[in-house]
Amino acid sequence: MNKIFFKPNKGFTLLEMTATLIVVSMISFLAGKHCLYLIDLYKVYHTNFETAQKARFVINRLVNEFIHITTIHNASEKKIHFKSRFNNQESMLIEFKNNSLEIDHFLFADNIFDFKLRYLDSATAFDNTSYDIWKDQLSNKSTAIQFDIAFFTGQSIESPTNIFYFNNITAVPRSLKESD
Amino acid sequence: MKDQRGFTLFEVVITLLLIVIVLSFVAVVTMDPFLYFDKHIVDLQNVYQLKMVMENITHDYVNRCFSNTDFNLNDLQKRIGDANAVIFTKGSKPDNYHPYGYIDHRHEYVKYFVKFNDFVKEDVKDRIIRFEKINENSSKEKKNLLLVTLHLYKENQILDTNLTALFTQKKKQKK
Repeated sequence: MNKIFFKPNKGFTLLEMTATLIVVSMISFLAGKHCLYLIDLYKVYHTNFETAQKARFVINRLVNEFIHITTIHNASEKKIHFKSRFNNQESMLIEFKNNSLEIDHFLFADNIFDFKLRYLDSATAFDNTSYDIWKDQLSNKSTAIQFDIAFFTGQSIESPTNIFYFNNITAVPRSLKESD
Repeated sequence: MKDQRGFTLFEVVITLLLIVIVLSFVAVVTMDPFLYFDKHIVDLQNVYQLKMVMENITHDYVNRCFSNTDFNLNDLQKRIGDANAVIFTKGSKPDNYHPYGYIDHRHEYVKYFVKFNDFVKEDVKDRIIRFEKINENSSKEKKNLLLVTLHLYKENQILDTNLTALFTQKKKQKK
């Protein structure tokens, strides 16, 4: 009776099952590793995107302030005190302090790894590039401002995940009249 | 009842491998932007490098063309460099300096490709302003608008990163 209605179902052997499990686990391991890698990349991508947005905002603000400068009261490598048309000709102090940029002693941007200002030696400085034409200190002949800024990502300055440098950002004040 | 044999091991393994291959293709296509995870930062760095060159040109424009010196838009055009040339150092003669990509403290140059560097004239049609290149040999047309388009040049390639500026001849200011 059995022989008429049911044919024998052999199923897989132990060897077949083991081989299949090994292949499946190897594929799963590689796929899982790849997935974790992609998740990490996705996180880094988003952090970098946010840092780029922040950098664009901070740098554009500084450049806009600098190109509208009319008077510089005093300036050094880490701070600059000036009047700008961008700020209705009111005096303004931009200072790098404790890994932050402050405008008039109010926090403007944090997570700044480094910030350095330079000043072009004179209007004709480019005619002779055999010496350093950008100086750390402002002179009364200076006609342009340059700065380097670096942003860091991560929990703290002591253990940054990444540092992004934006160097030689140049701003030429269109109507700089005097330096105090 | 019909005979139900099921799949062989070979069929199962081949199917799994095919699924993995298809999934890996899908993953590469969908995750492609994330593989260039620093693209936004690099793009921004490139823009600011080219902006440095353009600001250095603007510096000569603001502080020399307008400052009661002999320097004029023709000199500025010369110093920027010829169209379709890659500028990566300063000129050999004093009158053809093009040091605008000069990075002082590293003694390096930001290389730039001059896409356009010519005098143009305005042509207004249907409230849309177009710029047309002036014939160089024409003495009648005024050369008072200098249009400059620069591309960044990196690793022997002209990048898409570009900036355009229009410099106008105005009455010089006395300082």
